[in-house]
Amino acid sequence: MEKKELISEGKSKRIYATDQPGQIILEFKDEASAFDGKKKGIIPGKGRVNARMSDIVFRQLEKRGIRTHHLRLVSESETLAWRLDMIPIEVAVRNYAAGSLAERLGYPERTELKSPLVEFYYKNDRLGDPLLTREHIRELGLAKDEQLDEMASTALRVNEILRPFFEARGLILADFKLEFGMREGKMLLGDEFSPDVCRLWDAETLEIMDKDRFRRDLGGVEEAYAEVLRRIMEEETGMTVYVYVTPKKGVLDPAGQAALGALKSLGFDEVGDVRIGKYIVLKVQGVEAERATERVREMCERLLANPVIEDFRVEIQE
Amino acid sequence: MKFGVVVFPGSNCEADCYYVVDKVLREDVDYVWHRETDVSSYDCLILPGGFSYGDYLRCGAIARFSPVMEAVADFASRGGLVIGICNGFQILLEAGLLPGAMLRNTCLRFICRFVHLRVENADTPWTNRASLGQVLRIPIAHNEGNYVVDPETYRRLEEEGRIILRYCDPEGEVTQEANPNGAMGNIAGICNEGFNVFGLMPHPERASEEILGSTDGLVIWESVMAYNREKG
Repeated sequence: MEKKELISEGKSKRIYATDQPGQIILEFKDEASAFDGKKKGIIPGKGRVNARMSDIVFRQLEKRGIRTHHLRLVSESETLAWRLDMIPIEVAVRNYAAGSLAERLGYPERTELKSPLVEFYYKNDRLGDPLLTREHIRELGLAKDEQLDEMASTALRVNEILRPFFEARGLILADFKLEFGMREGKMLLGDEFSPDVCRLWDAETLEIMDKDRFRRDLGGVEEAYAEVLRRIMEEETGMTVYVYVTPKKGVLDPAGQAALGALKSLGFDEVGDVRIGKYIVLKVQGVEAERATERVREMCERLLANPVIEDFRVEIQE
Repeated sequence: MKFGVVVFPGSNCEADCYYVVDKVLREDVDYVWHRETDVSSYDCLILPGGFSYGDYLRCGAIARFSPVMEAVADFASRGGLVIGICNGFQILLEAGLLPGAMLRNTCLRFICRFVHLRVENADTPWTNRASLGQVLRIPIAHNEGNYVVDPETYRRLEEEGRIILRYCDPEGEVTQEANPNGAMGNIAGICNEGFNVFGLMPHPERASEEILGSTDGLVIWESVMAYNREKG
């Protein structure tokens, strides 16, 4: 699969063609914007977090029977997906009142709603992405009634899957928005799922862990994104790597010699030699086993072992 | 002449070095924090002894990745004078600015006492005020001073006169008995190819005043000052 020309560039992603018909590459940018592009900034590492999080969340949804455009992660900050004919409607699902909904209903921020609520917004920067009723949508001809029904029911199903998913990771999914598109007559979930398009609060401290940190200048944006990803990846691809560092052959090992002497004096005459080294256990997340081995070897060469005097061996347990 | 004493978390000889430069040598001196990235204003950098980063993993292994070490390497590559004492020497080894590595002392104990050192090359920035074969009495204080290097590099160090100090007896004989820690070839101090980077286990800053029982360490400071003056 080869990356081809740029098809379009949005506020947070660039879309590229590939040499595979119907498949595109989504490149997630570190650039952030809010309030319909009126506020702009950079969140270092955001592209990486959003690509990985979308990969994990979409795979989770696919596993539970939701059809999405997602195919796979192709680099740190790029995913491969089916090209969709996008429906210009954003579908929001809300579990708590926050942002514009709190204002509209006159609820205090963070009021839990009686039941999850679905809203449609017009994806149109010029108009400021306004809230739409079904009648508006019919009038504008943006989608058919059956499509709207499908979008709403899929969105609620996504909520049923993701609310407990995040809860298990110490995060409250307050709300999120989805975008859908058509491919070969079928509706697929498109776009991304990341802290850019949802509200996540820490279940214990209620700390804001999403783009609201950027919107409201709360600071620690980069850290919050990284923390969300860390919690999601923990169970996703965690593996344990064991590193054994031992004195190189021929290098004198004073501690080993001392232990050898002590063993001999205790009558363990069968002991011919003792080498004393280090045993290091690493928890590694978010990489394939092969890549993890490669990375840990690099860690050994650069820091964990001194190649002048030490050898090392790496074992991986998935 | 302007000295900079590089301070890592866990350094504990920086005040001694600073004191010697300031009060004994009466030269300019600053502390250089490990987060510093520009050391270009100094003539000589001192990496003092101590337990940088708790000496976790290996002595000097973590300190070498401090931001300042990139600046130190750059400074050294331009011919800047760098002296690493004890833990400072270990950091220079881990950073690859000097060849070799340190093992634990063969006796498996921390040794803190005066030793005798023979000057093996008196034509360096660090020893030009000493005479060849001169015996210096300077203390050591370390647990990992058992210097080791591959045989090929050892041969090169010898051939190029980069072994500067060897442990010896009071008469200047380099013997097994005079080797406190098991170091290969009784090595106590070595230089890089350009002789501008010097690493040694003994502490010259602890032997720079009569009241401390020896002033033999002064010859190293006086040498580097003379070198800097002549270099202009």
